[in-house]
Amino acid sequence: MSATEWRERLQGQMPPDLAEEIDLFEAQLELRRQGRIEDRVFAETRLRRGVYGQRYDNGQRHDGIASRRLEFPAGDLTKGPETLWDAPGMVRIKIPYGGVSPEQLEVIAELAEEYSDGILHITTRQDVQLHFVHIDDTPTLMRRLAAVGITTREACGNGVRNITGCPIAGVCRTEAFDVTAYADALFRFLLGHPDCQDFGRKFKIAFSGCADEACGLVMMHDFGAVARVATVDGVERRSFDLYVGGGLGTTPYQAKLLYEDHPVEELLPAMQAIARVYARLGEKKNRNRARIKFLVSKLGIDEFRRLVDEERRVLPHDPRWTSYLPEVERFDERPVREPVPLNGASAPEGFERWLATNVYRQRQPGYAVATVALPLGDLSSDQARGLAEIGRRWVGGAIRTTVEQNIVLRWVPEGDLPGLYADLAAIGLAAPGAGTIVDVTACPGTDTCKLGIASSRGLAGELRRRLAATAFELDEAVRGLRIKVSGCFNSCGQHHVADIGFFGNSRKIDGYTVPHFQVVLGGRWRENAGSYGLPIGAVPSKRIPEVVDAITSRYVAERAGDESFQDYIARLGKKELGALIADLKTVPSREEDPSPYTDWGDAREFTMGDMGVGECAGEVISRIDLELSTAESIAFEAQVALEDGDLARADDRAYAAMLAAAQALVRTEWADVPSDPDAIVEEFRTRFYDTERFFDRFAKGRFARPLLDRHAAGPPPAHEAETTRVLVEEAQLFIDAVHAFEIREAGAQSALV
Amino acid sequence: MTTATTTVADAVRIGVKLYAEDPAAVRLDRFIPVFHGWIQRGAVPGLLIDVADYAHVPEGPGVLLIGHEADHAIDLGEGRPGVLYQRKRDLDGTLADRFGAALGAAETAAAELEADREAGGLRFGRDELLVRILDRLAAPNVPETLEAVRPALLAALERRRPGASVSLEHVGDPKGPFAVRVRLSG
Repeated sequence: MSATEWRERLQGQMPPDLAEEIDLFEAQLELRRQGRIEDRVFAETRLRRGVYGQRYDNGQRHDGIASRRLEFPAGDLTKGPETLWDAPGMVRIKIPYGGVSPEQLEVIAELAEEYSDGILHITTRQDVQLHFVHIDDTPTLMRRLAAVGITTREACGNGVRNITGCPIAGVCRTEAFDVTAYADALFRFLLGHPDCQDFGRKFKIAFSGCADEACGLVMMHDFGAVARVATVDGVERRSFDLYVGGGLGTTPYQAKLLYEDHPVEELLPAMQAIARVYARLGEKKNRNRARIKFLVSKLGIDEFRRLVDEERRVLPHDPRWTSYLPEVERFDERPVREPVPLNGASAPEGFERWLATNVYRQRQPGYAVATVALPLGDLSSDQARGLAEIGRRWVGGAIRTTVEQNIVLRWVPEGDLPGLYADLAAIGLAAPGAGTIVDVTACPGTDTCKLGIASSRGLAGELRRRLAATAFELDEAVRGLRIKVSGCFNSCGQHHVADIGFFGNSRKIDGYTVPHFQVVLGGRWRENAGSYGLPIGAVPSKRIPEVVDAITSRYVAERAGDESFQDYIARLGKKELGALIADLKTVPSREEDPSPYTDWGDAREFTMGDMGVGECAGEVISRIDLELSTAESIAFEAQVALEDGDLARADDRAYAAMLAAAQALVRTEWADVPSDPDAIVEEFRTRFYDTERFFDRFAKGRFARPLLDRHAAGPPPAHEAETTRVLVEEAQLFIDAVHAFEIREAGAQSALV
Repeated sequence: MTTATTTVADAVRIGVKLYAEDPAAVRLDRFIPVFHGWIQRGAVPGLLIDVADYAHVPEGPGVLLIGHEADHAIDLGEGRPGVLYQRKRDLDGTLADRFGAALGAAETAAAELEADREAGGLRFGRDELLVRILDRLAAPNVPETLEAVRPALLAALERRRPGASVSLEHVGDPKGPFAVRVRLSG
């Protein structure tokens, strides 16, 4: 039995642009192995392909006795600063607005099984993450994803992350209109967009169909769109309220209204103009102040809007801004089964409880959305395959992930719900309690994240276990509360917008470090994450379940009529709430009780020593450096082709590498440099060659000639080995010359300061 | 160094599972400290990295001891708890050698757990195994793969259990990885 490599097998199945992108990444891996790409540049390159670091990847781990070095076979070879090559890492898979087909789910299940640990983890941004992946496996993993239309590109790093969207868009009872097509168009428009390659930090976007529900959580996003609709002269007119400058993290900001009632035709150019303003004026050096929320806050929303308006006026027209609009209706899902009423026939055991919490009646009569509640956002490869089959059978593949780390199946005929429930129960995916206090959200925390301080998953699992046992005996007001846990102050668990939120920290007690969680109360999930919670104090990790008991019991006892939890927390105030948890802050001595000195789900004595340098912020690498790195990869492909005797490809790649480097250089002066070779060469010639700015002191214009000559002559009618070899070498020399020019220019600039 | 393979003869990602004799006795929370202990004392060969707890996932990977070359797990797959050794990379020799190494590592892990009081006195059967290959390129999940691996797998089993009578059955979800149920007697 013989088989071909995945790359060959999947030829023709991958979109050409993704295939090329992955080839380039694979070449960059090889260049990094050879030490020909700088550590920091490679790190950002890797992050922008969704390949992330993971805890202990600096090669140090405290095993409960001592901190020990992990002796990986590749030794000191690194894939980023303090990040060892062989150390397992995480791959983040972008799922725009959470939409995933059964075929895609099956492929991700295969990848989790073959390259990860058999678990698909749904994130709070509707992505899927695979952990413990070796970097050598990532190109193949990406190709298998690309073959089913999925990319990991820009899932991490300083770019536009996964675009989230309301998981019930299109079937929601309160939405203005279905935002799916717009989220998809913006995702495609921004993916790899030149104007989004020079951000100082990540950029998160969300779409919501209405203002009142939680759904899109627009107010906590860098950029968000809330749908609205009006009827003008009998015609439905769609628009968005556009918000900018929200975000969680250590300093949460609510987004500001940038444009009200903005026409859908202006959605993409508005975002492009925002990207340009952010890239130009956003902080680059201090990553703690680099998110757009700080820029908006510093400038004020009116000045920010003025800058965006100004930028919008000079944007070169792009047909993609509106070309998708005639296709909007293509996103209308259709059910695969006729609507059947739920007729009261006998149902499987447990169905009624599940029905009460996990089912949402759609706008379309006779249909419902069923939520598959995933504990800690996890499902196994076997379950994912089973769910894909269930999705095909009952809803024709209408599946979406949610920011609450669950999965929804849309378009279930109500009469089919018992059958669907039975199928889900057979694969262990029929847990009730979706969207209730049992359905605790948690970031990866100390399980895998380098920045994790305390075990968010350990705590979430413990709370879930305890609450599930009593969930249906809880007062209804409590049952509907949401708990969200982050392993540190960076808020990936979205604790700021939970009724009851926690984030990890620590306290030193008698010379020992004790895991704690800061308690944050009264955040507003609804109204698109309408307000943030109140921090009231840190409590030892092991006593957090008592905090939940104390707060919920008191709320039930003291609630005034229909008083919401948010109103109750505001009424009590920080002082009273602080008193409520004061007794729970005490920690017994280690001799008396050692349990608080370990964290949930971890047998080792607690330590902060395993924390590493986070990669959330990415590396701030100049755009020209990243583009030259790409040019180097293309040049590497040329070398490989030359070695393989494929002279035509070697010639083509060498020329493409020089064009890429020239384009990178021109872009330093003209952001909108086109990708057309004639335009690139012309701009390069007039700006750098004819002016002799590019000239080397001794070699003069020699390094630029191969590009100019090859461009003028076009591809040779017959490829000769020697001529091609020379061109491949000249391509590398040209890239080196661009690097040298950049260094000279930087020196000249600094001399002027 | 890539771990991609092109033919079944090159397969490296070989897993072997031995089933717990008393499934009801398996308490997953016990294995978190047990596996941390393995890391502390290097109880099994290879570079051991961390412990991952997926006890909350029904019939999932259970509790995993993540390693560089291989993972060990108290696995809940098929609804039958057992100890699973899953090789990931860096396995030399012929295919029979590699099957043999994975079989041996699984037996070593089982013996280690059986000897560990903290694991709760578990016993693992030696007469029924699940052998799987997590590599759809090298080992597609089709009956022909069983025929391709049969000689190597039988040779490896003969080395570990000389004279035993062996039956091999291609099992599992057609969309899952290639897997063989092995039954030994005598």
